[in-house]
Amino acid sequence: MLSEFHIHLSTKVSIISLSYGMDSVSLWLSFFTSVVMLAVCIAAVHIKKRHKLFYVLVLLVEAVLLHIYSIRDGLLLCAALLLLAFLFLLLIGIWGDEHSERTARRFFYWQLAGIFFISMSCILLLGSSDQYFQLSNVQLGELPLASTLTETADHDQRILAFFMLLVGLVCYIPIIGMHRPFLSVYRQSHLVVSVIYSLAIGSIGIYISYRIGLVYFADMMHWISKPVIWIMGFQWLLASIGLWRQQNVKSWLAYIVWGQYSILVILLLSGSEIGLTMMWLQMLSFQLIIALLCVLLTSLYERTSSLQLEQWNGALKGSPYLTGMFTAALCGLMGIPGLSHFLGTYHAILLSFPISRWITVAGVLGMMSVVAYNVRFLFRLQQGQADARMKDIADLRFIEALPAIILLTFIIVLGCYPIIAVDLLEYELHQLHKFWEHAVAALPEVNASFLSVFDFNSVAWKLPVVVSIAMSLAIWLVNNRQRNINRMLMWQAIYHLLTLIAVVTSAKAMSAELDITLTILAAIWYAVMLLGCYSMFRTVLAPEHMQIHALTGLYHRRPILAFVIMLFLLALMSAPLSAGFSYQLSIIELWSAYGQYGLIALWLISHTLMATIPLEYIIRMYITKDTSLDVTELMSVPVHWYVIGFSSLAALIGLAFWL
Amino acid sequence: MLAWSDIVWVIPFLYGLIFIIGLTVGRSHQRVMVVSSTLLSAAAFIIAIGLTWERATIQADDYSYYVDWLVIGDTFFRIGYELNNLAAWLLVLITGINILLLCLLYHKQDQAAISSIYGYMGLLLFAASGVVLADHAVTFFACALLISFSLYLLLSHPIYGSKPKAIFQFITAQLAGYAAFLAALVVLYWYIPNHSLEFTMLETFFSGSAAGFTQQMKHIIAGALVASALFIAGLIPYGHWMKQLELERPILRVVIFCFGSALLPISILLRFRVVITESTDVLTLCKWLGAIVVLWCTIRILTRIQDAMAYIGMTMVGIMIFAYGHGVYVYMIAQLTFIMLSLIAIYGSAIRTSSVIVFGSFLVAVLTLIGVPPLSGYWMQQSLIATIAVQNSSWTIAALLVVMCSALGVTISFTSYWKKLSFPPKRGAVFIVLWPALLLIGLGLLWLVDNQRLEQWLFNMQTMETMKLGPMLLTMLSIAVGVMIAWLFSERITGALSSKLEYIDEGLQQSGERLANTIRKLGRLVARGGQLIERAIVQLLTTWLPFPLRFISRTGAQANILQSIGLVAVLTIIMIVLWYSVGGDNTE
Repeated sequence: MLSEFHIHLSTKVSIISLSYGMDSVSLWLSFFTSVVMLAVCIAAVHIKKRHKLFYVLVLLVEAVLLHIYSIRDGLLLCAALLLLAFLFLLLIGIWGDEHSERTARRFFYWQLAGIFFISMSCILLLGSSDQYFQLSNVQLGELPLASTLTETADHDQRILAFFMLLVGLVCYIPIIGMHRPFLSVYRQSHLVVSVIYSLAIGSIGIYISYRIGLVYFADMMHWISKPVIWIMGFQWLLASIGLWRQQNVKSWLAYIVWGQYSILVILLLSGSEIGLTMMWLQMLSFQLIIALLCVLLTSLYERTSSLQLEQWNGALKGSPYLTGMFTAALCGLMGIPGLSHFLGTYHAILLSFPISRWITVAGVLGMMSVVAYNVRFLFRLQQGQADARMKDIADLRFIEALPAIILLTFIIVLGCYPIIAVDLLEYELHQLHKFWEHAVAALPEVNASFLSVFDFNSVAWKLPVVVSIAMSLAIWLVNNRQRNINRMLMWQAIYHLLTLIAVVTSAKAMSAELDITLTILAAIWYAVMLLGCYSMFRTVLAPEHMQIHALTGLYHRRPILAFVIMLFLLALMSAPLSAGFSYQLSIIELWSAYGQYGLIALWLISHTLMATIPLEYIIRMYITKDTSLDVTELMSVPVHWYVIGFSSLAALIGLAFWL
Repeated sequence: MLAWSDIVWVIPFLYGLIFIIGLTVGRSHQRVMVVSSTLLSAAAFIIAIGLTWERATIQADDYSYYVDWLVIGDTFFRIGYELNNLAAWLLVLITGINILLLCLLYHKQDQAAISSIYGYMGLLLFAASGVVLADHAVTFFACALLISFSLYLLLSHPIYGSKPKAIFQFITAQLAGYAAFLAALVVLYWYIPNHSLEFTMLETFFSGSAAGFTQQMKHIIAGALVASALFIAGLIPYGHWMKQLELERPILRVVIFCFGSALLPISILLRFRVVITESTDVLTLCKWLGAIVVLWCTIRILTRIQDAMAYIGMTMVGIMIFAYGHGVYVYMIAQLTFIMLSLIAIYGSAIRTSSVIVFGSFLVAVLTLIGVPPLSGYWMQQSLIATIAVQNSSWTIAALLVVMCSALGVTISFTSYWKKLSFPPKRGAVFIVLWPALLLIGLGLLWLVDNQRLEQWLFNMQTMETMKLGPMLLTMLSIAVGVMIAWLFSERITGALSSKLEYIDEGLQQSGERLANTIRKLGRLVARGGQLIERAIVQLLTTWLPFPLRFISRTGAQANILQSIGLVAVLTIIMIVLWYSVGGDNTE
């Protein structure tokens, strides 16, 4: 019955389609995401700063997440990931601590890199089989198609696509050695934002591994499963031991979540149907428990005004309901029988044994460390030496208790009757497991020849193309710290011109049929966009003040204009939903039809790098907290700038639909 | 048709209900909590009595029932129970002990009964009945975890004000125990056919050839299970949490000892005996460990009288492990029963009623534990000696020594306990101490009447020897010697010997602390080293390697328009030259 829920709308660019569907995994993820995000929204009632904007962003995050779980097109998924990364940029930057701007920026760059690799993986996958290419897009969750692909695909191209996917996933699932960006997001963000991050970004990493990794690269996932499980086992132990050195609640949460991701990956790669089922049970349970912790931690934070663990000693004395809920939440996290985390945790230890007994040993030691620490934590909260101001801590209010009770009910029900969730998942996971067993029968041979997929010696690499790409990279190198708005726009214009030159030249070299109308429209669109962007800047800044620092805090002073400028800047970045994005996809479609993956890769790199320049201006408008700068308000603005600006916006929107 | 066996599942259900009432309704209605928990516990006790009577009279086969709790592919996760005679006996024991504990709780006015305590007791009994009735090793493991969890909840309850050290030592011991248990379960899971961990499957498999298991694996699994029992019981030198519990918390002590230190480890050893007995080395280890524990605890009682009540518990567990090593299972069950009943009587005598009946009950309980004839304790001790003498005469001396130390320890501990009690005149429920004492006497008489039947009924085997004159006399002698030493010499141990023992004791403790500090320092060094390496790599990747790029960016930002155009042009030319020199060529 679920398979009947399927929508498919083609677009003008054939490699992407508006394809949506629902299966049991999507259904449960969507349902639990809705429940936990509701609880998190209620927990965020203590946020006073820009709370309307906060709720707008949180609701958008939830919308994008629900969108992601129902998407059935690989490139559309990447587009949604871009939107999500941008939303988190704002969430981390605006409500974080003093260095949150830098953390938000780094987070976004990290996500951009991840999305780049995942997109490249989808593009390579698309062109790896002639038979598959006829379908035109990377369909998610379609086992028969994946089976065809495995049998007919170009071997080297599939391997390259797989490595690209792996590298991209590292940006979503923290792996030891590259876990610092992940930890710094927690340390610098607001507590509620960290929780939303746990529910969103990490879960998506697991989801992508499941949807794309296990389906299209089952044999290769099996091939790397042992070393990855080794790493995860060691990581779990490290995260459990690292807990003991944390002095801040957010850091504690970061290490807890890091350990949980390790368990999820172990279950994902265990190669058994039970492992897959337990992985999804554990994922749902993880979301519930983290949301419950969010509600409780924010309640305590609101009462104590501190996130230092030392200052929370004795905070729960005289608060029986808060104590009870905390005990339940931490017991759930520890995997006490009867609660939702027990089965998954137990099976992670069990299923790691065939790989190596030492992973099981590491897992058991990790669990012991987590339990010991959490017991100590709970004891200190209940019976520690309390500060004077901790003596009159109020118990849970109704608005706090209600979501906590709902979440706890789910945790207990899922723990006692997991069949409620498993029953629906069974068929799909069983089918996937059978497919997996068939696919892993022949393991791939890997040699360095897969790099030849990036054919840098092809006919497309004429001099103008080389110059365009090289100049784009040079422009970014020289101008990524550009503070002058006029110059920034000038270089953006040159960059887009270079893009058009590269497209036309390469199409001619490949004797490809280029849609001239589309190219002309794209050129017009770029011109309109740049003009509109300049006009809107002129509505807020005088010609002599066209510097980036003049935009500091523009959101507070002129929110509507700031929003419109942001739209133009996003269009400059060719963000999803803009005409530029569609045009980029049409270029990718053209090049991938002729196997020019090297060209796609380098061009995407230069485009991604160039997109970071307008991003700085958005950060300055919305996130930068430096109030020491003297910003001169523009008192009178000629009307024609408004006219040009808003007309350009209308044209932008119109052309977006057209293209 | 077995009527009572069909409804045995009601017992855990009733206790679960008590737990839920305790955490919800009972919070604001204490009287409701007390009444409901008493009534529900009484109902559970009646069912337990009923099914035990039924099994004793009808000679029924083992009864099991299960439901499919979770089905994943071809794997079925079942929840069920298995009722045999041993389970029936243990159910009667724990349900009966629970009622007496509830009565003690109600009468102990300094531990004002609050609903959460009753709730946690409900959870504890739910888990205990689950352990007794479990038909699957994972169910057993889950229920065992719940027992430890509920004991932790009781221990950490603010009303008891337990020392942090007690809680942390308890948690550490439990963690170590369950880690070992889990290790055994994981190995069993992967090597047993069909990955079935049902006890019937284990019994069938290990009664046969146990193909697929090497002798080394059997040693490891058996060792892990025994280690888990020992850790959970708290038989860790210098780590036993009972020492940290105050004597003014008798109910807490009784609950934690009976369920945590006695029932749970003994259940692990008995339920998995078919696996453990595969390794004779481990059984021999049990014999040695049991004897050493009893001996060591006795020395500790002599030198540190203030910790006597903690060490006597370890002594009793030690002697049961010693018996386990010799395969005398009925002794373990009987001793467990006597210990539980005696502790109720002993600690119940502190309900502040000074009467002959209370003193008499206390005396019966203590004398049973010592093993003074003609009470039940004596008959079990002499049966143990007789059985060991027949099986392996080289262990007879050790067994006599163990019995002597046990008698010595009990005498010192409980006489010093009695001396410390104060008895302001107050009326209390005398039946709380009288009833266990009468049961102890009754069990002794039952043993005298038909001592073979109990082992046959419980374990369907006959290993214990009947009363023989030689062992009877030797046992009597050992007990007498123990009691004599306790009375005559415990207060006369010379100061020099006592201080020498304390000196050795302190030295060992300091060595242990030094080792722990060294391990901690090493851990910190490793962590710091790792952090330094990590920081160096991060610095290299984010600062030093990208330095040229950052330099160019900074220059470009500060340059004017012509300079930046020039810079772009130069960089472009450099990149093009590099491109063509590396081999990017489109001569096709």
